[in-house]
Amino acid sequence: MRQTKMKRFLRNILMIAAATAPVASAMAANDPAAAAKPLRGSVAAQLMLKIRLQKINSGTLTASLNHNRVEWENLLPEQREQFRREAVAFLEKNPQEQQRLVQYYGKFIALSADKRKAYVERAKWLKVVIEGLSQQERKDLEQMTPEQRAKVLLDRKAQLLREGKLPAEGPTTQPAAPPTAQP
Amino acid sequence: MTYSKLGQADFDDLSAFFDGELPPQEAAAIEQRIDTDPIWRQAYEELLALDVALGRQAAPPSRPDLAERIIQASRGMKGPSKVVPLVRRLIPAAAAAAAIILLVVPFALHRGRPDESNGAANPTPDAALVNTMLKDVPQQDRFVVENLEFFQNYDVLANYETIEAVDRLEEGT
Repeated sequence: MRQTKMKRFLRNILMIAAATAPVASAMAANDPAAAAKPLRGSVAAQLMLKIRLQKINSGTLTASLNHNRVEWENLLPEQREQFRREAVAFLEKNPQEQQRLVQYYGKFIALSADKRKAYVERAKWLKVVIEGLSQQERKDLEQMTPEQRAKVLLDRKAQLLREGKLPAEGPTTQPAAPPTAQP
Repeated sequence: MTYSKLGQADFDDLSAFFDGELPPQEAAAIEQRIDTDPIWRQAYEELLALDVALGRQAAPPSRPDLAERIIQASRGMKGPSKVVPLVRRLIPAAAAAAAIILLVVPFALHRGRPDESNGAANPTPDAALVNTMLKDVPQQDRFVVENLEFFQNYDVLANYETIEAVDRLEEGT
């Protein structure tokens, strides 16, 4: 009887250890490369599987994998590290936020090539502008509606352009200087 | 380990089944689940292997008397009631405490652990394709590589609502 209880005890230990092993692994991952993968069954894994299935349905999975593999091989080590960090940042977000980002990705890839390029250019200057803000200014921005935030950021962008702290946009980017950016 | 996919109650039932402690109708129900549910079947085989590894020689309830026990159950004959003594109730809690100690094991093994997120342990056809095509890419990078476009545009996605609003302002819509 004692032997039976001991075996049940051991079974319970193994069961719980097996269930918690992925969490422990994620906790153990100190470097982005080791952590940059979703746990099986997680929302992130499901969302990424959804993207994979979309590619299968459109017949583009093989081409996409080939393209990505070649591109990855040609990246600089620091670029790879940046994408690993972004993967970790994505996986650390809560499931609702992960879902939102995947939805945005769906909208983004549905845009025309020109529009996608314009969005990428905007993300570049947005990053510079936001990095120049104080913590309080960033908090204030978070409380605003997207339209209010866009207006403030366009104003700040115009200011940085005047001060020469932001490189002027090239001819391929969106040309319009917004009326809101005028002094 | 498949048995970790079972809930605690199911696991307790399977464990009690292994120890021959279930009344006949419950044992019959467990056997039926083992026969029909792949997860239960796999969990049964894993626990069987575990018991063998632990040196247990007694087999779980034998199959030949299954029919008899089903008949007994259908006639409403009650076997011995399922006893859940205090010690047994405490076993999961004690095991949980012990498992916390065991967390150091995955820490130590983490770097050598095969990746399961891409389906390596139980590959679906699409996961197998991904693994084949990215076989030269280290396991830990495959998620990033497969979703490279996503992470290349992460700055856009992280500010998508703002960029959309900027677009509307700049386009005058």
